[in-house]
Amino acid sequence: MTDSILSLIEEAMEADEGCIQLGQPLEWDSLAVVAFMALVDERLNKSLSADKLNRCETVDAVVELVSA
Amino acid sequence: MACAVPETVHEVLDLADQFGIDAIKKIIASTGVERRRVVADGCASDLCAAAAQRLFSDLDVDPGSVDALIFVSQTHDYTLPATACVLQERLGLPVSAAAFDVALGCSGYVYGLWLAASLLSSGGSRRVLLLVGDTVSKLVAKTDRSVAALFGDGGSATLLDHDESAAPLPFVLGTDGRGANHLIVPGGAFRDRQGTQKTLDDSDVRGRFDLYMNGAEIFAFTLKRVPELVAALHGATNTSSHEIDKYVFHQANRFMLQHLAKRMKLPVEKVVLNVQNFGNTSSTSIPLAMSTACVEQGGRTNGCYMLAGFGVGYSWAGCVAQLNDMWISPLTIMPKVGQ
Repeated sequence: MTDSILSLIEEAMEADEGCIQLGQPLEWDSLAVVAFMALVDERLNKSLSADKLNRCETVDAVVELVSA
Repeated sequence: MACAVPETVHEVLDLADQFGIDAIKKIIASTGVERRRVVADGCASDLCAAAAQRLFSDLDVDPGSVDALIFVSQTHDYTLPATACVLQERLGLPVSAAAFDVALGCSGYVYGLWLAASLLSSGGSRRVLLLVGDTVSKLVAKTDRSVAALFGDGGSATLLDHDESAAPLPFVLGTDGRGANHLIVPGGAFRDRQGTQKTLDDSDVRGRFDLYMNGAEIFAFTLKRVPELVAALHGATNTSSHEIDKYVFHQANRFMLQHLAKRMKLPVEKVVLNVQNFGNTSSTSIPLAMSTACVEQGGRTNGCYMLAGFGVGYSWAGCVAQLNDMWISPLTIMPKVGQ
């Protein structure tokens, strides 16, 4: 599950494969946040709270939010 | 129906000097907006008046026959009086006409149809002129990347007549004010008239009189509400995507509409998209999409249309309309708006 979430973050940020890892701070713009929400909705069939996602400052926090 | 847009075109790529070419290309790829029509000094009422005059001319309608005028906009001319009153005189409508404003945005066109249909079916009116328009470009801070490349201006006029034989026009409407702060111009009205209160966030890219949009919250709202709205309309009319000829949604942005269409498994060729050349025109986006994407250079249209508006408020409204030879005028390009 963690690997697929990392992969979705990379896809949303249009980042190279493998460059997003646990333990990293996360700096993404509003387009990437919305793209990530859409990917999670489409691939994992989950609706994320925008408020909680906006407050995530690390990759770990996003993984925890999506895994919950 | 008729629509009018300003002559002035702003290319989104021209914002590359300000935000960087990579960022702008990314925004265009996501929103689908390549250019927008924006007013210089004009108002939504100017665009709506031009659309109404075009419609009167094309259909040879006597303005004196209109007995109700509804003006839907969030960018009215004055704090008071109601813009509808100004438009009554400007368009030559009789003094016996009812005229009033409705302050809604993305859901405003369908709300206006609902009000007009209610007036006609109750016998309160025989001929309603629905004017829906916005100039949101005037509310956007040029330094705010989240909205600077998104919004365009436009106005529309829709004429609705009482007809005993008209098909039913079912509506689904809704409101959730918990989303009010996620798409808002906080200053300038009466909560914060001078724009002196604290800003909504720490950003220095916009002021209290500028539009603030929390894109993630708006997206979460649409993901939840729009599929429910569409399902409710299908249920209320006992239809599926097979019976609907066109889905005309509020043209928020391409990314959102394409995602919603995919999620709801709607046939992509039935989902109208026209943000490329006009951007998000708020309340005008549904009639503008109909007038530019459903007919070419004006003409009559037929078929079963699902219209759905959703956004600022939060507010949403949808209907399923069976159109029979509905006239749509060629798009009016309005020079020197406001002069």
